[in-house]
Amino acid sequence: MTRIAILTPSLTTGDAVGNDALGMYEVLSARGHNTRLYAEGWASVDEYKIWPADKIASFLKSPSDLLIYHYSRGWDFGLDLLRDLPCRTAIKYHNVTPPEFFLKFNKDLARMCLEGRAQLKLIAAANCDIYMSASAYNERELLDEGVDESRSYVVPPFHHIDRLANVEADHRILEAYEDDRTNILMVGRISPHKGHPALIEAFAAYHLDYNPASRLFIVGKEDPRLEVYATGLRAIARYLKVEDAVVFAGGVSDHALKAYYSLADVFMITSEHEGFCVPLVEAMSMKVPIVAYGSSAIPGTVDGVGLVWTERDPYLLAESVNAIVKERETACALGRMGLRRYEENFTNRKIEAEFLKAIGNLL
Amino acid sequence: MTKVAIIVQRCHETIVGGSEALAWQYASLLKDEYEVDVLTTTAVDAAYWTNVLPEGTEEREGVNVRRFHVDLGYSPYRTEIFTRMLQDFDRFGCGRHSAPDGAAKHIPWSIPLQEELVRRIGPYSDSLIKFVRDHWTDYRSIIVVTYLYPTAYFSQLEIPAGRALFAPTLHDEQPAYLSVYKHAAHRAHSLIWLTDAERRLGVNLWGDLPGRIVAGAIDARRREPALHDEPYLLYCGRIDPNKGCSELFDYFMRFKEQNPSPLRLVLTGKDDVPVPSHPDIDFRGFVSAEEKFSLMAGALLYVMPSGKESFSIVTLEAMAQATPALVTAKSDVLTDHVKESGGGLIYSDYESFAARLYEMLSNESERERMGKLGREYVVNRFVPEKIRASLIEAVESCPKPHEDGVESSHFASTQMQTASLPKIRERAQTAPTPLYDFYDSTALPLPRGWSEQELREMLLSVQVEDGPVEELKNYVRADFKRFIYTLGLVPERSGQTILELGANPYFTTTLLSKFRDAELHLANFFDNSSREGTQKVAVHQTGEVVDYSFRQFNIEEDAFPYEDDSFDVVLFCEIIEHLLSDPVHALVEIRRVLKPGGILVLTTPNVARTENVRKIIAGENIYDPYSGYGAYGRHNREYTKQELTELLNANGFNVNVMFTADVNAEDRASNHLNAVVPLLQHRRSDLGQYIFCQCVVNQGSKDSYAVRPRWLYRSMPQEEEPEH
Repeated sequence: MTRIAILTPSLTTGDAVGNDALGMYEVLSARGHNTRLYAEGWASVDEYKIWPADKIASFLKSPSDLLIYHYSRGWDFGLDLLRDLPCRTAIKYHNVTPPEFFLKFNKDLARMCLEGRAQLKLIAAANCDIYMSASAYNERELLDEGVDESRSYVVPPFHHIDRLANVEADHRILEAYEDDRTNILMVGRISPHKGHPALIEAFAAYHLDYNPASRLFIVGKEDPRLEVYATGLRAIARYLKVEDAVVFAGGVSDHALKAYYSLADVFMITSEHEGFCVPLVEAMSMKVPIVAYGSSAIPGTVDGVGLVWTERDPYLLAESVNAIVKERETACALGRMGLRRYEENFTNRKIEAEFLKAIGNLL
Repeated sequence: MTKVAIIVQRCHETIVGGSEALAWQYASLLKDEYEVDVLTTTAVDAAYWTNVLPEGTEEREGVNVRRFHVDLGYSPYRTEIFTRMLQDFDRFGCGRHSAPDGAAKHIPWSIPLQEELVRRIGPYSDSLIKFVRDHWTDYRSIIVVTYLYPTAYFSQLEIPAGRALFAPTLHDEQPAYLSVYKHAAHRAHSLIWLTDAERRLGVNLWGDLPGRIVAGAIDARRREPALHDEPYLLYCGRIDPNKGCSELFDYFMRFKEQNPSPLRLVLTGKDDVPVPSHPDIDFRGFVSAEEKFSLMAGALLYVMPSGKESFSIVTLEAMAQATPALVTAKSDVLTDHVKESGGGLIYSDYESFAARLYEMLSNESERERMGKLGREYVVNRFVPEKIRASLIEAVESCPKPHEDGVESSHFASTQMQTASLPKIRERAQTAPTPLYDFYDSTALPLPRGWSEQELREMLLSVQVEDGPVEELKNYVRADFKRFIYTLGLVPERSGQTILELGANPYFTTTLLSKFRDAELHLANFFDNSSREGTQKVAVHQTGEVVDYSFRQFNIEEDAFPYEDDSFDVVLFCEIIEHLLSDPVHALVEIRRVLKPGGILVLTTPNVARTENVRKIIAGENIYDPYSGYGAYGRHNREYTKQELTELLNANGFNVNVMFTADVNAEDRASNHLNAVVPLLQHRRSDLGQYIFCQCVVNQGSKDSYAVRPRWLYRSMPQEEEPEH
């Protein structure tokens, strides 16, 4: 019987790659496969048994076994496994952030990303049995590196959005922001490639010129290695005289996240590099209208159910927010369209179907 | 046979509830004409929505009842959000006429939060909603009953716009003020109202909507009056403070105290709150329909204290038994029934309750008359045949499922959304006021007791004789703030002698004479015609007319016609940029005529201002146009703060204060600036339109040396060796 190992260098929940790996594990285990999760390091995943990555060779012994390697950064160990293991291999490509974004802030992270992008060529050349990409944008990169189209599939990442619908909103947050201000929300790690400066600019344009009774929630974990960036964001907010209206919520629990989505009138994102962007889908599921700068995978994920611009112009974004806030019909319509898109493309059930379609022959 | 669906949150014979009863009635009235499916949940109680009845289809009296499983029932979380909604209703002053224009004020919650509440009010059934999504085309029409519950709300979102019928059974309660219900109502093809009062409330809350008053049929068959020794008042339904029952108990008990009589109060229904134990209050619990009608027939009066009726089937049933109704004024629906029929009385407080009751107790013929009128009203209006005909008409008026006409909501939304993008782009192009206010705007130093408005008006009324009126007024409008900043730099000591260079057109002069206790000396340069002159200046606001005499000389060529050390303050404002050849000459002369420790106030445009940065980036010229007033009329050379500082320091002045500030909103920033903002950060304080400076004569520099820096003067003759 086929043994399946799902491998990623590090595994945590609340992380797009981590949730995808766990989702795959759930689906395959439920179907009765002998599946294990392997990682070099892991945190906050007590409900799951994680095996140390260096033990993987003793698990995947037969040519009919399967390695699913989640690729989001450079890792020599992973690359070696692709070369050395006798079994079948599948790649799940989440995309690697271009190193330029980290140069001014953390050289180590920049180096990791540089390695990640360099190793991508090698991954593509490793002749894996199938290559799954989280988005068409990611797939394009693999195809450009020479991956055979017949082996390439687009499989969105598994997520915990169903949890979001049913979890109870943290009432302390509902209470803290209980007023009739317009709330704009962004969810995403505090990392330089997520375009927070442009977000704050756009919010400032909206706040100062359209609606001073407005507020920006920036929800996302801050990485101590990127402290300079996080501090810089607060300086930008002060400089633009909106520091009282911007809330840096940090990393939050599911209950808190639910509260922020419940309070949101608009979801706005100006990220410059995304491999899929799970928060966009969270917003869709919560019927929060989307305004975005359409970089990388964002237009593909949104696909017409939000206001997506090709220019990162604060006035365009501000006017978009205004259009949504002023015209309730637009807000309702966009919200409904977003939910419909989520239900038709991005529920875990749908993703499972795509996943099994891709991986079926290897089981 | 053509199918019709009715969506309602509960459906079972044991259920006591107005909207459920209405839904069942409509189903019964339509079942001969159509095959009727009632889409509902497996819940029986309206507090917990527990799954009690089996899932699936049950046939009952010719109607198919399809029950779906409840996924979200009651939870403490629901109470939390619901309470929050009630609190916010009060906090934001919502209500029927609470908006500034007298319209209804809705609760200002985001849509996701509102929908979270609706979902949690329960009963939320995923499978019912999916069924509606997948099968709405199976039905000729769908009637959604009652606005409040997620069964109705989310189904309305699944049925494409302009197709469903909606019977909201609306009444004036806090949840009705959530705006999502309004949007849902507008998706319907048309509305089914129970009364005109309900329709009026609907218009107030949701705006104009197409619809018809269908009402409901009332069982009006006469029953034998229940046998009773004593006369009794009757109430049937939920015993609940929300239905006014606490008030009813209170009023009845007080009445009995004040008016001893055999009168009793009989109640039937469900006691959600305990009925007080009182010898004359008789709670019968849940009774059969026949027993209820019998009790109604035998009652003295039917009493209805509930302000939250959307139709009040029970009251009409009682009236149909020729029993007069005693109703609360709190409900438009009830008062409408009573007023239109003449079959009852209205009370608004204890006094009126007691008075009406007392009247009725003693007046049998009046009771009979009213009873007759009430019965006529019900029998003529709420007849099953009439209701059925209205319902069928409503169903047939809806577009057939496969008819075009109204596009699916999804498609219409996409169209709308793609159409709005260009509009948004267009609106964004007309750039609003700037994102970046660079200057730390110094507060306007308004003279004590004067507001900005007052000062503006005063200055606007200053008019020099023969001056170009409109041009000068525009000048004041544009530069008003600059005059005030300038005034602020002139010390307030009394008894000063002040020299103002370039006094014409006398706005600053007017401010100086009003707000400084000083001897003013004025100088102008129009031409070389004479050494002095006078100009009349009128301040129209006060009616003053002043003659200002001035000396005339060229400050960059002539020696100033004053003795050394004559003045405490010299104003040298908006002049240096007009000079053609030798600004240092002016500075040196100023230094000479100032007393030791004297003050120089200098103002001039800031060449490095934001406007010029923008212009250069945009490829526009920053030079001043040629002037109709001649070479001196033009800005010939503008300065930066740094240059001025150097020039002043080099020529014997110490700078006390120097700042830049914007004085008007002309030519503010636009998109071009966004990219360079980071580059301008280091000189945030250098970007204002004007430079304002107060300096003092350096003690040791009263000798007549002059420094003409090479950056300001080039190709000079050898004798005047420049510094730096």
